[in-house]
Amino acid sequence: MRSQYILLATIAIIIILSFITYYNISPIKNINPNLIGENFEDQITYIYQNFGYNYISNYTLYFENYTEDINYNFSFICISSYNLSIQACNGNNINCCYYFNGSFFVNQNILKYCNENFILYNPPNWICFCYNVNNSNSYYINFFCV
Amino acid sequence: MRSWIILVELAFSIILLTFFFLYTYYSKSSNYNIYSFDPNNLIYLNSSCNNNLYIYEIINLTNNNITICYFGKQVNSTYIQNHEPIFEYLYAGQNYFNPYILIIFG
Repeated sequence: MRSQYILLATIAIIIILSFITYYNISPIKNINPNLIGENFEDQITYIYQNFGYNYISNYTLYFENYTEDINYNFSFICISSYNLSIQACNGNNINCCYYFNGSFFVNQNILKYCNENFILYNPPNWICFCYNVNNSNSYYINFFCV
Repeated sequence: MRSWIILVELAFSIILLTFFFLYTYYSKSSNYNIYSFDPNNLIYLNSSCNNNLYIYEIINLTNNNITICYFGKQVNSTYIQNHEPIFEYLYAGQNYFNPYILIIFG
C-alpha cells in the first residue's frame, strides 16, 4: 500500500517537474553573453561601414536599454579619434569614452576590464570598444576596434 | 525488511527523477541551437512578412511598432503564445539607421 503511495507521489512529482521545465525555459536562457557581445561588435562595425560614426552613440543607447530588458548588465569604455558624443559618458560614469588626437597610450588604467596595453600612433579614424556583458552567472569581456 | 524496500524504491525514484529532469532540461536547450542562426542571413527579415520560413517578431525601436510574422503572414500575438523565442538580435537597420529587435520563434 505504502509503495503505491510512493509510486503515485513519484508520478505527481514527474508531472510537476516537467511542467516547470516546460514553462521555465525563458528567452534569457537561450541567449548567452557571447552572443550579445557578438551582436554589439557586428552592429557597431555595420553602422560604421554603412551609416557613419554619428549613429554609434544612438545605437549604444538602444543596446544598453535592450540588455537591461533581457536582464543583462552591459558596460563599455571606448577610445576614439572621433567625438562620438555618447550620452552615457557624461559625468563620472564607468561608460566612458576617451577622445584623442595624435598618438595615444592605451593601458589597463583606461581599459578597466580589458587587459590590453598598446599605443595608437596617429590613427585617423579609429573607434575601439572594451565592453563587458554579464548577468548573475556568466559574463563576456572583449576588446575590438573598427 | 519492508522499510528497506520502501527506502530502495525511494532512492530509485529520486535517481529516476534526477535523470528525467536533467534529460528534459538539456534536450530542450540543445534543440535551440542559437549558433545555427547567422545574423547576416537574417537581416533580410523585415516587417513586410515576405519570408515564409520563420515565425518571427520585429520590434521597431524608433516607433515601438511590433510586427509578428507567422510563416509569411502578419498575425497578432495570440499566434505565438505557444512558441518559444530561440534567437534574438538587435539590428541597427538595413539600408538606413533604423534599430529593431528581431526575435525568432521555434
